[in-house]
Amino acid sequence: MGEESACPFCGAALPTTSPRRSYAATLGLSLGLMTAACSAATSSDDGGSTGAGSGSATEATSLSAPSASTGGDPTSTSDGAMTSTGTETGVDDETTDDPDDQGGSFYAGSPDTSTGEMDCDLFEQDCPLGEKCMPWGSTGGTWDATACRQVANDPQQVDEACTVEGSGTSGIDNCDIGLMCFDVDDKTNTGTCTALCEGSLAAPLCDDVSAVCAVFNDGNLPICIADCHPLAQDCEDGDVCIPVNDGANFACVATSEAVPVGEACDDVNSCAAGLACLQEPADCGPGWGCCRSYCDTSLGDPDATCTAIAPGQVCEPWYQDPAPPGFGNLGICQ
Amino acid sequence: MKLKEARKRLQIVDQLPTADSRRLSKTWSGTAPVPRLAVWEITLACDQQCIHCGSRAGAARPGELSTEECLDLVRQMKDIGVGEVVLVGGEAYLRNDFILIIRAIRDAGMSATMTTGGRTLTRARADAMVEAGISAVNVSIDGMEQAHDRLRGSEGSWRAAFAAMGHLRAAGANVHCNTQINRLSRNDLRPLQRALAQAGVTAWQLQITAPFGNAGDHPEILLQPYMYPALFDELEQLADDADTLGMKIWPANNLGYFGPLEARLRRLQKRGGHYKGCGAGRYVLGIEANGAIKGCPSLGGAANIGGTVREHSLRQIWEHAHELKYTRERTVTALWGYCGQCYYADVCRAGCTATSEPLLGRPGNNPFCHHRAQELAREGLRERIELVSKGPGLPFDHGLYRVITEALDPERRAAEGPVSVEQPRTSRLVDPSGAGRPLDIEAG
Repeated sequence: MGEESACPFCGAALPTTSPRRSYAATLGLSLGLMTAACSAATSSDDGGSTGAGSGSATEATSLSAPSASTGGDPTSTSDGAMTSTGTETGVDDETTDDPDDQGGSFYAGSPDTSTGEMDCDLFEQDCPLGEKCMPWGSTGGTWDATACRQVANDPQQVDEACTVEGSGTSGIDNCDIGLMCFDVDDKTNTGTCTALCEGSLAAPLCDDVSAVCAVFNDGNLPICIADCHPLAQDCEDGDVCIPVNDGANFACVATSEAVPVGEACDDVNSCAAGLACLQEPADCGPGWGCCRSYCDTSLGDPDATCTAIAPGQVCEPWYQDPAPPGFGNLGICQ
Repeated sequence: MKLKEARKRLQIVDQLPTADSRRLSKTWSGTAPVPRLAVWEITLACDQQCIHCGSRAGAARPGELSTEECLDLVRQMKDIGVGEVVLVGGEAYLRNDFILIIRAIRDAGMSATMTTGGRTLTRARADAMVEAGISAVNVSIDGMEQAHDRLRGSEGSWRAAFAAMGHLRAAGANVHCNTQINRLSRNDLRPLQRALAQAGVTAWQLQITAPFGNAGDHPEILLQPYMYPALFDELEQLADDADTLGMKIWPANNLGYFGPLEARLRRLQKRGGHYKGCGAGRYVLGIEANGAIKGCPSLGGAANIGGTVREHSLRQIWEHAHELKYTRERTVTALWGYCGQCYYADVCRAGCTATSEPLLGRPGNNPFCHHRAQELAREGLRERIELVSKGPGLPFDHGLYRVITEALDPERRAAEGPVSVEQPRTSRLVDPSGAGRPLDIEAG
C-alpha cells in the first residue's frame, strides 16, 4: 500500500493509500495578505534546516489560533508539528477513501451537491495528465480550495512573467505544473510564476535554497517565496519581510498598505517595512492587530529602539531558545 | 395514512437546517468507516413492472417498517454519520408517510434525495416533497420512449417520467436524471441527452444494467463486454455534448474502469479522477424496507444482509456484521480471472460488486470493464457472457453467467470457437473469503 503508479491511459496518479489532510493552518491570504495571529514559535528541529533564512524545509505550522473548522483541537507540539486531539485524523492504511471523494450508488443518482470542483492534492499533483493542481478561490475571493486546471501549452517556468485568467485566485494561469502565477497585478492580470511547495504538508520543501515554504490558508496555499531577515529587510523593493509558518520563518511578500508603527493592521503585510502585524497585545484600536517594530537584542541597550517608539515597551526575543542560526538577535517590541 | 393527512403533520418551518452531503469529510479510524450515503428502500411497492428491476418490485415487502420505526432509523443514521439519504423503492412515494421521513432526514441535517421512475409522481406529490424539504430528485429514464416503455413494462411510462420532471421543477425541486444502458437503450443515448437537456436536466447518471433481479433473467437486454469499446466511444461524444449543454455526466459505480475516458468521467466524483473500488460497506449503506441492513444497496440475500434494525442497532450492524465488512477487509487475493492479474487490481478490486457478484456468483472478476475490453482487443480477443441459470425470483437475487473469451475476428471466432471459458464460482456463503472455486456446472 502507499505506492503510486502512473495510469497508462488517463495519466492520473493512483494513490492506493489516501493522503491525509489534517493540516490546520488558518492564515488568510486574500488579494492582500490577511491578518494572522503571530507568536514567537519554536522552529522545527531537523538539523537546523528549518530556521528562518535556511531556505529549506519548514514544518507546517500555523500563524493563527486553532480553528473550529479544522474539526479538532490542533496544538503545536514541541517540534512544531501540528497534531489534533479530534477524531478526524485517523489513518487506516486499508482504505482508499479520500476526504472529498463522493460516493455513488446504482440507485442513488448524481448528488445534488456536486456542482463544484473536486479538490486535488497540491503536493501529490494528483490531477489527470495535462492538468495541474492549483490553489483557487472557490467563492471568488481568497484561495480557499484546490482544483485541477489545464496546463497551458508551452507554459512559463519559475520566475518568468505570467498571466492569469479572470483573477489572481482563479487558479487558471500559464505557468507550468507545480507553479502558480503569484503576486498578480489585478489591473494587468500579470504576475510571476512561483513554485508551489513540494514534499508534503507535514514536511514541505522548496527546491530553491533561498526560498522558504510558506503555508497559508489552511494548507490551500503552500508556496515557495524568498526568505529574508526582518532586521535587514533584505527583500526586493515593494516587498516586506513578514513572519510565516507560525513565526518560525520570514519571507518576502508585496506590501499592501505600509501602516506605521503602533497603528492597527488587518493583514500580515499591512505594516511598513521593519514592522510585524501582531495580534497580541491588541492595544492600538480597531483592527486585527498592531504594527510592532522589530528590534535587535544584541545592541547595548536593546530596549532603546522600543522605548523611542512607545514608553514602556521592551525588546523581547522573537524566538524561544534555540533561535535559528543568524536570528539569535531578533527581537520584537512589546 | 393519506398524503393530505401526512402533509398536515408537516410542521411549518421558516428554514430547515443546512443539509449535509455524501461527500467524505473525514478519514476514519477505529471500528468502522463512516457511511456517508444511505440508500433506503422504504417500500417495495411499485407502480411499474420493469423487466430490469433489480429488486423485482411490485407488491410491498412483507413487514415493512412503520412510520415510527422509520423515524427512529433516521435518528440512527444521523448518529453514525450519514450525510445523504436516498429514498428509493419500489416507488418511495407510494408510502404517503414518505414526506414525514424526508422532513425527519432534513431536520436531522442530512440531505434527503429520492430516485424514482415517476410513473404516478403527481403535482401534489411533488409539492408535498418540496414542502417536506427534498434536496433533489433523480428520475430514471432508460432510453427514448419505445425502449423505456418496454423496459418499464408500462406504456406511457416515458411520458409520465418527463411529466414528473415537469411537476418537480414546477414545485421547485432540483431534478436530475439517471439512465441504465442496455441493449434496448444503447442507441438512444444521444437523442435522450438532448431530450433531457431540453427538460432542464443538468446532471445525468449513467450506468449499465446489471444482471440481478429481473434483469438477470433477461440476457437479451444486457450489454456484452465486447460492446464496451464502442460504448465508450459514444460516451466520449456524450461528454463532449454535455460540456456544450451545460450538463454534468455522473458515472455510476459500474461504468468504468481506467480506460482513456476514466479521468474525464470521474473528475468531479473522485479525487484524482479515477475509480477507487466498491464503496459498499465502506461509505455506502443499503437498507431494505423491512429494516434489513446491507453494505451494497443493489445486493441482497444472506451474503449481503448483516441484520435488521428490529433486532440490532444500525451502529451495531454497520460496525460488526461481517457481511458489511466484506469490502473493508478483502484483499487482492479475493480477485480472480483477468481482474486478479490486472495492473489496477489493488485500487479497482474488480469494480462494482453489484455487477460482478450477480454475474459470476462471487465478486472479484468483472468483464464489464473498458480497460479490460481494450486490452483484450489488442490481443485480438473479446469476451461475452452467457446465461448458465436464472435466479430463484426473489428481490435482489441473481442467477449465474459464464464468461467466454473468443477471437475478435468473426471468421476466426467461427472457426476456432472459445479460447477459454470462465465458469461462475462458489458464493461467499460457501467460501466467505478468497477467490472461491469454479462451480462444476455439468454436475449441477
